[in-house]
Amino acid sequence: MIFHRFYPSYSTPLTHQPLLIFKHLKAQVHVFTANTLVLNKQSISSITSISSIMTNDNPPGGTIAEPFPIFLVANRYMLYDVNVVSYIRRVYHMCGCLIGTLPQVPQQNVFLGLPLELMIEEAALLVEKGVAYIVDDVAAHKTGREAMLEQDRLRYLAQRGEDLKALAEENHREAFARKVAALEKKGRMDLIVGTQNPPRVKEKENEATPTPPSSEEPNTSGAGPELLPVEPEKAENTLFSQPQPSTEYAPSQDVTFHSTPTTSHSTYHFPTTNPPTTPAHLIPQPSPTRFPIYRHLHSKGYFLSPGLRFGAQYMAYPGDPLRFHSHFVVNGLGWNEEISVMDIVGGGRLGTGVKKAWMVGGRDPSWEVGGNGGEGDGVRVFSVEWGGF
Amino acid sequence: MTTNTTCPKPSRQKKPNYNIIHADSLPLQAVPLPPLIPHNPLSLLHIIYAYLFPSPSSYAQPSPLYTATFSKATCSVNVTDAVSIQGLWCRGFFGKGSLSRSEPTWLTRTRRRLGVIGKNESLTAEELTERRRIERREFKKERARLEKEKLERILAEEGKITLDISGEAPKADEEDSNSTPARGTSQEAETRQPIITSQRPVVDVEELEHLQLTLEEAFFLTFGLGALVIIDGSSNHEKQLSNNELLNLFRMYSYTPVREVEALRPDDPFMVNYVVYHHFRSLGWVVKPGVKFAVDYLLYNRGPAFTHAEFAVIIMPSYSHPYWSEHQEKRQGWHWLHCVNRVSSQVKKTLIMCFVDIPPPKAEKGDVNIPALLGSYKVREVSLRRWLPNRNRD
Repeated sequence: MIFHRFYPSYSTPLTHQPLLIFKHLKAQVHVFTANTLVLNKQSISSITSISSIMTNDNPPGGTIAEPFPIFLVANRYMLYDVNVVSYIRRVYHMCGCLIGTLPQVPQQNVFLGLPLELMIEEAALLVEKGVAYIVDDVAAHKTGREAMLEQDRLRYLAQRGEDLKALAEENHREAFARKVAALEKKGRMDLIVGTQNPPRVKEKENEATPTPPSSEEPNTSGAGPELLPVEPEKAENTLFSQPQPSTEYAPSQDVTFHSTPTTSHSTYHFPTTNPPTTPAHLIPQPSPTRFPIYRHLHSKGYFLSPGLRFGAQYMAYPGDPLRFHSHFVVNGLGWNEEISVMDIVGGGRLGTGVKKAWMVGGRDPSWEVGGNGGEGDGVRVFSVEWGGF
Repeated sequence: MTTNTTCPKPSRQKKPNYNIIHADSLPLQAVPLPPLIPHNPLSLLHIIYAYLFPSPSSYAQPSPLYTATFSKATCSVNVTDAVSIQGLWCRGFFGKGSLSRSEPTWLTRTRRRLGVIGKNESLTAEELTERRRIERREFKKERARLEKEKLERILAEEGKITLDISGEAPKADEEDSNSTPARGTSQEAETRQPIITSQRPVVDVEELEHLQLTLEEAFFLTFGLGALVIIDGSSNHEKQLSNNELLNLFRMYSYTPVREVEALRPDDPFMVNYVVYHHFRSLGWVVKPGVKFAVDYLLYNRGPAFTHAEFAVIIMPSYSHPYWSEHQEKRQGWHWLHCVNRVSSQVKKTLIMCFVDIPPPKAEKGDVNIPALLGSYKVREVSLRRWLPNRNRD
C-alpha cells in the first residue's frame, strides 16, 4: 500500500462518498510520482549509510550551519541534503520520511531515498526553535535563476559539463574494468589481449566471404568486437580482421550519463536576510489539536513518526526508531472535544494488538506559562490498554 | 510431532447439537398448505379453505406472541419471560443476557458454581471456551517441557552438560505441582466430588437475568416479523405499543439526551441503524452489535453459535440528496478508518462501509407510513480490506 508511506495531507477528512476515497488515493500516488527524484550513485550510497551515521559519535556529516533551509514544495516540507537529514535526526530527534525512489530499484517502496519529507509539526518545531527557516522552493528557484549573472551561468554550465564528463569517464572505466575481469574469469583473455590464437570461426568466415574489405564505409555492425572499445579508424576492418589488442582504456565520445544534483540551493538560492528568516506567510501552521501533544512528547525525548499506518496520528518511540519499537500510538485531541466510546474501544484494541498503548491527550487552553499550571506545558495525556477481565 | 504422541489426548467436552437447537433462523414458522391431489377436486377446496381461514395453530408467528417491556433507563427492551427468552435466542440469536457475555447463561453458571448441577452438566459456550483455553495452555506448557527435556538429553549425549538424574525427578515433581495447580485441584475435586454431590443444596437459584434487546432488534421483531409485543413499562396500566408509537419512542431515545418528537430528523441514529439492520437481516444475515470491535454491526453467517462473524459493518450516513447541500457533516479522519480497518483485520473480519443515503425530511400529519419511510433510505456497501502486496501473495 503505497499511500501509507506518505504524510498525508490526510488532514483531508474522510468523505462519505466511497468513490472519493479512491480519487484521493490516486491523487496521492500521482503526487508520489511527481516527487520522484533521480539520484546519482553517490547520493544513494549516502542515503543507505544514514543508518550508520545515526549512532556514530563523530558522524561524517558533522554539524550543520544553523539555521538551515527547509524547502516547501506543494505544501510539503522537504530536505534534500543528507547531512541535514542525519543532523536533525541526531540532534533534534526528527526522522521524517524518505520519499524518493531509488533509480536502480524503482519498482519497490521498501527502501526509499532522498528527499526527506518532514511532518508539518516537525517543520513548525524546527522553525519555532530558530534552527531552520522555510524557503518557498519554487519561488526561490525562479528568482535565483533570474538573478544569476550570465557569466555565473556560463561558469556553472562549464563546471557541470566537466563534472558530467568526469563522471561518464569514470563510469566507462569501471565498466571496462568489469568486462576485463569477467573475461578473465571465463578464461577468454584472448579477446582482450591475445592475437596469437585467433578463433577459428573468424577464419572460416573470412574464407566464406572473400569480398575485399571496403574502405569507403566503416562497418559498425560488426558482431565480434562489440565488446571492446574500438577506435574509429579501425572500425572499418572489424568484420574481417582481428581487433587490435587493446589494454588501454579508450574513452567514448558520446556521454549518455546524466546526473541530477540533489541540492539546488547552492546554485540559485540566495538568502535575502542575514541570518535568513522565514517569511510570515510561510511559517508552518500545524493543527492546534495535534501540535501540543507532538511538542509535549518531543520535549520528553520521544521520537515521533507519522502513525497513519497504525491508524493514529503519531507513533512515539522512546529512542531512535532503528533501535526501539514504538511504545505508544498517539492521538491529539482538543481539550473539550467529545470522543465516542467506540473510538476508545477501537484505540485500545489497536494498541494492544501491536503491543503498544493507545495514547490520547490535549492541551488545556486556560493554561498559561508560569500561571495557574506551574511546570510543564499544559498538556495532559492518557494511555489506554485493552484488559481481559 | 513427537510431542503429540507423548501428550495424553485431552478429552473434549461434547458440545450441544446447535443444528437442532437453532434449527429455525427466525422466530417464524413456515406453514405448508395442504397437498394438492390432482384426481381429488376436494383437495383444492381444502387448500382454498386453509389459505383463507388459517387455523390459529398454523400462524407463522409464535403463539402466544413473545412479550417484552421497554426500559427507559437502559434504552433497551427487556424480555423477562423464560419462554420468550428461549425463543428469541434460539430462533435468530436476538438480544443478549444482561449478566452474560451473549447467550443468557447466568443461571447455569451460578448453579454450577453453587454445586446445584454437576461439573460437566449442560456446559455453556463461555465455559467451553474457557476450558478449551485452559487445555490449550496446559498443552503448550507440557510441550515446552518435553522439548526442553529433549534438548537436555541431546546435550547430555553430546557431553556438553551432565544430566543429574537423581536430582531431576523430585524437581520435576515439585515444578509440576507448582506450575499446574489445575491438575492438583482437579484431583482434589475428584476426591471431594461425592461429598459435594451428596450435599446438593435443595433450594434452587432464582433467575435474576433477563434478555436485553437493542432498539433495532426490538423494532425488527415487532414491525418486521410481528413476533413480539412491546409493553410500555412506565405506566401502571399495561399498554401494548403500536408500531408507530414504537418508532417515535425509539427515535427519541436514540439521542442522548432524549429528544422530543418535533426535533426528530431523518438521520436519527435509530433510523440509520435500523435501515442497515433491516437490510442485512432481510438478506439472511444474523446481525449483532459490534461495539467490542469498534464497529456498528457484526454479520454472522448462521449465528454466533456456529461460526465467527465474517464481516464488520460501519455505518456512514451519506448526505447526497440536494436538500443536505448546506449540511455540515461530522467527518472522521483517515487515521480513524485505518484504526477500524486494522482492528477488524486483526480479528480476521472484512470491513464493510455501509453508506446510508439520508432522504430529506417529510412533514407528515398523524401516523407515518413506515414501509414508505424505510423505502426512502438507500443502502450501499463498500467492502474494504487491508492488503499488503508482500503478505497477501497467495
